Amino acid sequence: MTNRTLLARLEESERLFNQTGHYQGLQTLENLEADPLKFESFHSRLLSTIISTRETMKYIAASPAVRDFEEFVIGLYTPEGDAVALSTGIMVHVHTLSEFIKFIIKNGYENNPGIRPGDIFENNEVWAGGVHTPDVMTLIPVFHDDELIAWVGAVSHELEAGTYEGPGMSVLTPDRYGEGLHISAEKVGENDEFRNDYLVRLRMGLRNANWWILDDKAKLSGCVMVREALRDIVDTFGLDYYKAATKELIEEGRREFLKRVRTTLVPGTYRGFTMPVHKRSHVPFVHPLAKNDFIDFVREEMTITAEGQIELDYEGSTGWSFHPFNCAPGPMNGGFWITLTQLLNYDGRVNDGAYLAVRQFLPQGSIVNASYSGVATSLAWWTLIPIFANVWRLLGIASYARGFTEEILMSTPTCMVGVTGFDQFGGPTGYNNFEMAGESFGARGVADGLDCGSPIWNSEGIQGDAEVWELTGPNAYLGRSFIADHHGYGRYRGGSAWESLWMVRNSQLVNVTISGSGCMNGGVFHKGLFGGYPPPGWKCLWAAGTNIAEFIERGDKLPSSLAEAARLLEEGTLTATDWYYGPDNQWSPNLVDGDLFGVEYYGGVGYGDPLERDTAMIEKDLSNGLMTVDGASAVYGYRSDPAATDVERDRVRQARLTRAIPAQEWWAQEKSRAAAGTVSPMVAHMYARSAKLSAALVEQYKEFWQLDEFPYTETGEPDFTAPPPTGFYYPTSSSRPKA
Amino acid sequence: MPSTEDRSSQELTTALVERKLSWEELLHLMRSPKEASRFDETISAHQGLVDWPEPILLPLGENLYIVAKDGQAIVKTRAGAELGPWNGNWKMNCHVIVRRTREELLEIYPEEHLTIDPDLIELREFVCPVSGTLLDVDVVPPGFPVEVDFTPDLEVFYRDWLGRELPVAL
Repeated sequence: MTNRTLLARLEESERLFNQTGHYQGLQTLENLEADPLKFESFHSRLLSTIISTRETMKYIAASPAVRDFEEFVIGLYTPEGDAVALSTGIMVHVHTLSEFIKFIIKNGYENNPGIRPGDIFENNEVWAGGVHTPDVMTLIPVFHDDELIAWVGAVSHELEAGTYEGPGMSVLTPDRYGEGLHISAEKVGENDEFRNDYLVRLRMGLRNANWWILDDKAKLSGCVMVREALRDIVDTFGLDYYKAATKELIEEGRREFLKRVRTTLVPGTYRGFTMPVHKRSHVPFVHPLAKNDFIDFVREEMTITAEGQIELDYEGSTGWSFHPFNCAPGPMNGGFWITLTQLLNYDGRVNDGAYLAVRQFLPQGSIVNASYSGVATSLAWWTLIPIFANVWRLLGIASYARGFTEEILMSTPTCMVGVTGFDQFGGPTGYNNFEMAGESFGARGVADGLDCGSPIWNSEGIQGDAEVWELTGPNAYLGRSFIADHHGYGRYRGGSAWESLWMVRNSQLVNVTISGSGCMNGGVFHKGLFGGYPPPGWKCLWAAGTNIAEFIERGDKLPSSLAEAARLLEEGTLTATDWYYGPDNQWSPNLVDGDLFGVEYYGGVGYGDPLERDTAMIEKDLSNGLMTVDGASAVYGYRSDPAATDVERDRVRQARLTRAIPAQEWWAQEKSRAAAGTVSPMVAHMYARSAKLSAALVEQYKEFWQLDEFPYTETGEPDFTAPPPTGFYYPTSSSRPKA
Repeated sequence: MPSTEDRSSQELTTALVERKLSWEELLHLMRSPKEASRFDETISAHQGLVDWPEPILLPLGENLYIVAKDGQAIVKTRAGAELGPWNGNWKMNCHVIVRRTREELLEIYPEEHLTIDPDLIELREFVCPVSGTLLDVDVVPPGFPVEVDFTPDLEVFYRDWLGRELPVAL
């Protein structure tokens, strides 16, 4: 029994770690060493309790995001807020829940509003460790007699969060005031029941509150189930053992992480960047603050240290701005966790020990660490996904260098369709279609990317049944299929792109937002590995005021792909008052029954020189309709017999040698262009925005091109002061200290 | 083909490097503990694939290595092109094809799918000057400096992680 406050315990824990480098100052793992089987049995009890609880929660939840697409997670935390064990699911939240608990402790919640048995806390606030408004955390304390011995928390992704636009994630809001309902680390229930005033707030703040409320009840039920199960576990093992062993699990997690890095990767410096392209000037009704086109440049340097720590440094990135793609420590920690849990910490020992073995240096005021109190992070994922997919690529290089080629895995962007308006039941609705949770993978080191895999943000994600989405919103699927020749080419190709085309059904007022992370507006998600190519691009479609009803009346075939719909529209067979088919993110006009919308999801990036692709794999793609003969011929040098293929590939290699020039020669030709800065306005703007915040890219540019001056100095943007939050503690980060 | 259990660890690693493992064998490898012997086996397998005598110190990428030559560590391609010091910008010793117009991108991508905007992005293909093999394809904004994706800490890797001295001076 301890009489110390949670704050005193948290500060002591942080002091011990800073002083010793070991979690809670644990130099030895006494319980693990004394009886490893008991220790393992203890961990298994915790983990199996949490995972089985998660399965039960699914059947309490209401939203398709949780029931059908696995967008939730539950975990156990120490009194200080450190993760002990996590279920499967959205592993983003291993440490975001930690930050939520530490926020509660460090902001004096023990005194006001108090932390008592049966209390329920909730959060989706980025300043309290959250990622964005749709990710809603539910948290309860666990007491043994009068002592708080644990926290149990759960997170679900809500399809509707009360945003200005309707879907749970806003694409266009300039600041937090349009990104929906904020629950800012609040006590929302007592005695294991949600307060009525909180439920009324949800009813008034959301278009479709039933999803959120029933998911809340599922999360609360799960948290209570784990709390009750903990009583048995504590009875079995004893309270002292429980307290000591949970600490040892975290310290063991830290040590095992370092060991795994040292045994599977190679130390050194890894470099990459991502540059999502955003365009909003073509949207007629966007807020003046957000009416601009720009590129967010995120410079990434990953260091694997001698000790085995992984450090990520983002110096040189562009600044935050008036859009919902900004990140903060909460989102960045979440992004890092989806990387760690899927590539390095995949053996069930997922806890905050790994967090103690990694570091991120997030320059203040940058896109990865926005410093304005009113900043929007509603679609932080449009920055996080390309950032951490690129980290996956860099870890692939590390695995290759160590010989673990079978572990190389690359991801894809997420492409999102949001629907808002009135549904087929006559009620207001807003949601994102989460079939995007079944997007393709990038190529692997030993195989093609999965054609329908899972997204980087949820390793259990799936497309789900089309019928579920037809029930969720006022739409019918006209087609869902693969697109030939639409992936990143390579010795191993990226997973094939696929597409969905919908028709509005049983609604007279609906509109759609369509966008993609890091691949829309003419951008590229990120490069491939070792000679592999990125995919060719991304497109979406909407068509308003169509004559689809005439097709149905005549019994004619309806279009089943975006390209087919666009062709019919161009021919005039299919008519529309207005329509779009192309690569820019879109907010459609109001659509009605029979109107169309659709998206071509992005394929995965490629691995290795395409000329080294095995012909049997090419022929399998030809048989499955994932490549055309023309495409295979152009990209892979494929011919119908092996000898002819070899001849063609030799010819292509010779043609490359004839066409390519020595890189030094190219440098000499390019230098004057680099000095003059003759690039497009959007690229010049990007360079200038990076230079405004940091000298890192400026110095790299000047050194490479051997220039005295950096040509990009004017951002054309107003200078203004945007204040950070004041009056409460929140998680922070900063640039790497100068040597 | 003998089963996974019947083959030595070196045989499995060599088959992995040569991409001759079946999917079932790859799954077995993914699920197995990561053996400390893998690195040396990988080096041995790669050494058997090249025609030159220099000892490989580290695989840098497909068809690309750091090797020991005359007491120094240098970057060398599988076909034998030498691309400068181990910690230098080896890409600048390659040959390069830069694609910065839609027409040039259409030589790679189909017209109906290509939406990469050449005003924002250019593709730089780094080619082995001996074989014409693609070593890397960079996707960058025009003007972006050429950088290498990875510079290993060779000394720490050999001395502290592998527990043996690096056979070259850095």
